[in-house]
Amino acid sequence: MPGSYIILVLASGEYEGALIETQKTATVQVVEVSPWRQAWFLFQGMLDYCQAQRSGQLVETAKREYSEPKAARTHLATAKVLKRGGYDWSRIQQCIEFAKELGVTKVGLAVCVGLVREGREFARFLTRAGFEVVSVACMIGAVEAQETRIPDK
Amino acid sequence: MPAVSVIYSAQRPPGENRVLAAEGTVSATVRVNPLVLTVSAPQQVLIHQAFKVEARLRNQGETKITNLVVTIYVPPGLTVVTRAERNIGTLPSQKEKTSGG
Repeated sequence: MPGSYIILVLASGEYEGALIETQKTATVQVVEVSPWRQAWFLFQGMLDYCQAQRSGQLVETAKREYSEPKAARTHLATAKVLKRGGYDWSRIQQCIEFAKELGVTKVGLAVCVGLVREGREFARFLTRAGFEVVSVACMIGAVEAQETRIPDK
Repeated sequence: MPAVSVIYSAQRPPGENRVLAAEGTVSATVRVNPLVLTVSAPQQVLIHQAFKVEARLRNQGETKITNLVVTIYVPPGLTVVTRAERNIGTLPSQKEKTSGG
């Protein structure tokens, strides 16, 4: 079961004919997280074969970007959502809570036409949560490939 | 090892007219426990996943410690997957041993 556990270690022996004993405790927090989070938890850091190992400076630049006002606001909202819901919330709930954290009333939804039904369901969730939803699918305008100089072969 | 002297005295019991008084000295030898135990375990672990608890023992005394045994006690909810009790044996003076599992 997840929770906090106290482990007791006891050491005893004989010293100059007398029994001696010493004990110490350690507290361990047992946590339960989703499988992908488990993977992150196990590695806890950049893997040796991570492509970012080749661009350390770029990673440092990215870290600084998080402090930029616009990004910081979004980043903080994300952190607050994760803090409140952890990884137990569904992505839909996370999105709704994230939008609430940002204080927005209108949400834009861009979906692939292959997922247009799922997008519609998602829009319903957002609407029920009180947001005005504006959506678009990738094939908007029905532009044919040939109209953009792709040969019809 | 340092010796500590304790001076004690007796006083008249309540309700008695006789004056009783006694004084004496008791000597006791104070020994500092030479066995120093340090336990290290991860602060956070995943459920259903084994973790290691390490006990480091050090003999700070002037002579060896014998019959040294380390025992780990875990509360319900945790299970010891290796041996809960480990016989370390003898730990010479000013030496260190590590037991983990």
